[in-house]
Amino acid sequence: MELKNSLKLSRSSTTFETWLNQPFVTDDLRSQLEKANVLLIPELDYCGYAGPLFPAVTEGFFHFLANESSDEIRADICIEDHDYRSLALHHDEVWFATLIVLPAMAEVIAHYIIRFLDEKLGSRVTETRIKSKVVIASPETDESVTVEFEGLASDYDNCVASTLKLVRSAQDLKRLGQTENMDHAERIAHLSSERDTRHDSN
Amino acid sequence: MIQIEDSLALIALYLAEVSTRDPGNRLDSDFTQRMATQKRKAIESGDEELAKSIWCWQAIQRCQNSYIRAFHNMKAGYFYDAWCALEQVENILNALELHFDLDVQGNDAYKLLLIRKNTEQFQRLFPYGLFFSIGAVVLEKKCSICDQPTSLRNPCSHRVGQIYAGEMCKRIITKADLVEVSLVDRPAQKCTVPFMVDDKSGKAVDHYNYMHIHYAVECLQHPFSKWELVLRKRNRPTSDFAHVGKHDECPCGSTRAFADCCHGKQHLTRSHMQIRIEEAPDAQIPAVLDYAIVRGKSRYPHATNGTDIA
Repeated sequence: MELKNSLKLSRSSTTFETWLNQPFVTDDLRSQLEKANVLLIPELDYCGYAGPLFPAVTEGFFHFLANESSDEIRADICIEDHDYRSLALHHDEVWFATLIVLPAMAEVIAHYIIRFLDEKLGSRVTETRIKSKVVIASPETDESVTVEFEGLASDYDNCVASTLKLVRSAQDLKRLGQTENMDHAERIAHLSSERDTRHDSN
Repeated sequence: MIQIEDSLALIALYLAEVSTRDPGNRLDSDFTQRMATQKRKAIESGDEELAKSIWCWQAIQRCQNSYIRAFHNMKAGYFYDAWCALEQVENILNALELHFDLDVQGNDAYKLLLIRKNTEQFQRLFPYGLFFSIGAVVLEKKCSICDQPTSLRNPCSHRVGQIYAGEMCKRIITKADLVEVSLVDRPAQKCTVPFMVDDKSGKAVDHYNYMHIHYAVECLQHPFSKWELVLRKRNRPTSDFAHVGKHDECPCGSTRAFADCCHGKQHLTRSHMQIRIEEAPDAQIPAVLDYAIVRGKSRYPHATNGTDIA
């Protein structure tokens, strides 16, 4: 059975602060996480399991970001080392931990997700399904938008990165939130036209 | 840098002559042994590049041998064993292609592209649709290269999937909690096929219908025969299925009862598989394997599902 890609975009109340104030985040860890502009966050209450859990691919992606990304990315993970627990599912799907990113990092993180998938999957990128959730959160406006994708790894660029690359500021994020009920083409057109207007006026 | 005792040309020749390979025979075992010895020497002398090359050659040999075994298992009717061997082929190729150009020399010299294509085609003909999958919480794991526990913020220098000292780096789970067991359609481990259990003996019973794979492999004379699998939909007069009871499964493959599905319609649409082969098959093999024709005949006694094959 062929599964279709699914892209959901929704306004959200999740912010960096939401996660810095979790009970399992110690003071030391909090002060470290405050420097991050990309935060990998856990699943809570997965299948009734008490405690935060990360999808299996998290560790690899975290190290990939640490080793491969430019200095502009300050990625961290919302857990102490000794509390890290990962979830090994034997379903053939690459499930990324939820990422909270600043608007300026949205395009950059999409780029690294694509590179990671290419490196990890090779030619299987055209047949392997992935699950990713990126929360773009602006501390300036306390506004955040969640972009959830479930689909083929090779479609991530067209379906998600094409949207994320049009979000670079709190202003862009606000406009992205307005496209909640639009289809993909309308959303891209809306975001592009707004950017063109701004560029023209500048 | 040490000199490899076997010349690269000889290694390439051995891997390229896979069509005449007999996995496990003296020549094959000798190659396995020599590669292991030479890798050990490369590691002792610190030649990482050579050790990595030998890892690739070993992977190619394993892949080719697993594929040949899978083919012979299918020919002999050991379909689940064949399925597991095909999974090994798939896994080896997925790992290998990250370090080695499968289309070496641009002419598929080691037949890896042919093996990949045939493996995918064979897998599509198997009847397995659901698999077991476990969900586990990993509490502790270690690096397969340095044996050190993994750490998020202070990791060892080894990256999963890379080759160190002639081995691929993996993570070994040393402590885990089982959270759930699911049935999934796209498992990471394809060998997790559920089987029925015989009430009396308590042993697993293979209840699957291997008609398609049985037919395809009968048509092929050799593991490296070239063939194409074409999947289509095709209309058939419903009158062809007059022998199907109203409460039987509908021949269209919907899994609904015939009476609740296509019964009474003029035509029904069935999956149609076409196998195109280059070499002429055994004359005894029917050109068309049709549910309406072969049902109950001894050659394909379990021909009961909704697909025609030709």
